Amino acid sequence: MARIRNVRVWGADRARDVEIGAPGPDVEGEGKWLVPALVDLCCDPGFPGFPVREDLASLGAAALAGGFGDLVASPRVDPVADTPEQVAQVPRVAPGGVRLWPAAAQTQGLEGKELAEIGLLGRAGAAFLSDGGVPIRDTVVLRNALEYARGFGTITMLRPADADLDALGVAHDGELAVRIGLRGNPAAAEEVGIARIVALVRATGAAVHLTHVGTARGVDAVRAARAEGLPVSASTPARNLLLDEDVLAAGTYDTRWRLHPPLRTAADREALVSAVREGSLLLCADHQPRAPEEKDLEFERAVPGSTGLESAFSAALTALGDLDLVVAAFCTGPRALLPERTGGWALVDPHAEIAVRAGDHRSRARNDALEGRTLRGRVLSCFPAASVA
Amino acid sequence: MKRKDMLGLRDVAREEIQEILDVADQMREVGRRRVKKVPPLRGRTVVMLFFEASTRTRTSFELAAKRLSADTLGFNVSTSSTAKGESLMDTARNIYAMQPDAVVVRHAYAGAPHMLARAFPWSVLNAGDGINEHPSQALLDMLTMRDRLGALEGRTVAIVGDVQHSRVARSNIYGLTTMGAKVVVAGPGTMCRSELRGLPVEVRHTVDDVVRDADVVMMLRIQRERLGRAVLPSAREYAAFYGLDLQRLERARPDVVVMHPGPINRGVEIAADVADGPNSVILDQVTNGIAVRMALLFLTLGSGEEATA
Repeated sequence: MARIRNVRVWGADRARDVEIGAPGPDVEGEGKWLVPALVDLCCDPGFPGFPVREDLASLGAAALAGGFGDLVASPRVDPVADTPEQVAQVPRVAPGGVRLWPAAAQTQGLEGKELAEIGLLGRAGAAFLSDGGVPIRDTVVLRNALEYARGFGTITMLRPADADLDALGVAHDGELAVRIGLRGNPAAAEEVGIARIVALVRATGAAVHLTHVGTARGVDAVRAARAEGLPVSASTPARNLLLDEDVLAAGTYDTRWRLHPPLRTAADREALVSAVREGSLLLCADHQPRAPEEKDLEFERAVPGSTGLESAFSAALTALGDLDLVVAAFCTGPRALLPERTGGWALVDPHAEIAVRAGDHRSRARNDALEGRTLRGRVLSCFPAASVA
Repeated sequence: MKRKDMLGLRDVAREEIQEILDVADQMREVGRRRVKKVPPLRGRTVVMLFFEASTRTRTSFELAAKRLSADTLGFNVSTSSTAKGESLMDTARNIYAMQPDAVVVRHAYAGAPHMLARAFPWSVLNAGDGINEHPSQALLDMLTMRDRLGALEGRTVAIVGDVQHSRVARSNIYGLTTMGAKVVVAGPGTMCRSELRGLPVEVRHTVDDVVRDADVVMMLRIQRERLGRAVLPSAREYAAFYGLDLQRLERARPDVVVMHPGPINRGVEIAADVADGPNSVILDQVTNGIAVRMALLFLTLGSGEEATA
C-alpha cells in the first residue's frame, strides 16, 4: 500500500504520514494536500457512438489526471441513453477505478415529446434523469416529466434555457457579438429557462439540478429558489469562472471558445464566482471531448464544447484562490447529490502552476477552452477507491 | 499598405483606407480606356470562392482581377464540394494546392475568411462573411461619397434598415467612423436593437430623425432570405415607416446623397423615383466597385513582386 509522507489531509490540522489504501510507490507529501476526489456532474463520455472523441480508457485516464473519482455520464450519446438496456450497458467503472454514474434521458431520444421509462431506467441503474443539455420546448412535457420523476425520487438535471431563444446565436447577445458579427444568444434564454423550471419545481415538488448556469440573473434566481426551500441545486463549468465573452474580442473566431451556452459577460463571470464562494452554485468539469474535425470548422458550424477534466481543478483554484472552496464546490457538494455514498482522494499541490496544453492531455480530445492559460494548482495523483488511514 | 488580406474594416487604420481610396481613384482611369487592361497582376491567379450566391460582387471582383491582367478561376462551391460534405478547410487545402495567389471568399458564417487567411500565405479578400463584414462594399461606398462630398471627416451618414444583420452596414460603420464621419442609424426595433450601442453609431428611432441632418442616406436592402421569424409584419408596413420615398426625401437636404448596396427592392426600402432620381448614386457605386476591388487586389498582392509563399 502506498504511503504519503508529511501530507496535509483535508479537514486535518497538521501534516502527517498517510497510508493510502491503494497500491503504489511511497511519495513525499510536503506542501501537498489530500482532498476528496472531485465529481464531474456534467460529463459527456463520448461513448458509445463517438469513437473519435473519447473511449472508456481515455476518459478514465483523463479523469484520474484531473483528480476526478466520479463522473456523471450524460445520456446525449449515440444511441441516446433512454432505455434500461442502454443504461445497463454504461460501464460503471473505468480503468483506474473512476466511477461512472449514468444519467438517463428523461424523454425518448431527448426529443422532449414522450417520457422515457423513468422507473425502469432507475431500476437499470440510472443515477439521474437528464435533458442531456437539450432544453425541452414543450412546458407540459417538462412538467409531466418532473411530476413523474418525483414519484421515484430521482434528481432531474436540466440545462435551463428557452429552446427558441437559445437557438438564436453562438455568442453572448450583447455589444461584443454585434461588433464581431456573430449571432447573439441572449441571457434571457437562461433567465426564462430558470424561471420556468423553478415554477414547475414549486408546483411539482420534484428535485432538480440546473446545469450550465452562466448569468448573473440566473444565479439570483437560483439563490431565490434555494432560499424559498425548493429542492433546486445548480452548477457551472469551472472554466466559466475564468473565461468570459472577452476572449472573442480579438475577432479570431477561434472555435476553442465555441461553447453552448456561450461565455457571458465579465459581470456574469464575477457573479458566478461569488455564487460559488457563498455555496449557492456547485462546479462541474463539463467535459465535452470533440474531435479535431468537429472543431476545425467555421465558428458557427463547429461543434460546441470544451474538455474540462484535466484543467477544471486548476481553473477552480485559480478563480477561487482557496482550496476549501474548491473542495466544497467540486467534491463534497456534488457528492451529496449522488444517489450513493462515494469516496476517493486526490493528491494536489495547490502552489504549483500548470500551463494548459491539451496536447499533453490524456483525453483523446484536444479542445480545451483554457488552452495556453497558466493556472494555479496541480493534481499529482488520484485514488478513486482509496481510503485514508 | 502592408497587409496581405482584407478581412474587414474593423481594424484598418485611417491611412490605409485613405491609400486604398486613392489607389482606387487612379484605377478608375483604366475603366475609361478603350482597352481596359493593365499588366500589374499578369501571371497571378485569383480564385473566386463563393459559398453564397452572388452576382454583382463576384462579377465586380472578376472584372477587377481581369483588368489587372490576373487569371481568374471560379468555384461555385454551393453546388460542388460542400454539397458532398467537404469541410471549408478541406476545400481550401485543395484550392491552395492549385497555387493561387489570392482568394476572394464569400461565406454564410462570420470568420470563415479569417480561417482561410490564417491557414495559408495567400491573400484573402472578404466578399462578405455572414452578418460580419463586407469591406469592399464599404470602401466603394466611401469612394462614392468622397466623389460627391470631398472629405468624409465631419460628415453625417444615415444608415436605415436591418443594421443588426447587415455586413454592409457593419463595414461602413467601421470605415466611416475611422475616417471621421458620424454614423446615425434607424430601423425597426427588431433590426436596430439596443445592443447596437456596441458599435460607434447613434441609434435614432425614425427615418425622419436620421434623414434630416444627413449628408448621405444609405438604405439597406431587406434581405428576405435572411429574416428570422416575426421580424417584420409586411413589406408595405416596412415601406410605410422605414422606406425612402419622395415625401421623406423632401425633409432631407436638397443635395443629400442617396445610396443603396443593391440589389434594390423597389417600393420597399426605396421608392423607384428616389432610386432613379438626381440624388441617387446607386449606379456610380457599381462602377466604383470595380476600381475599389482593383485597388484591393493590387495592394494585397503587391505591385507585381513574387508572392512570399
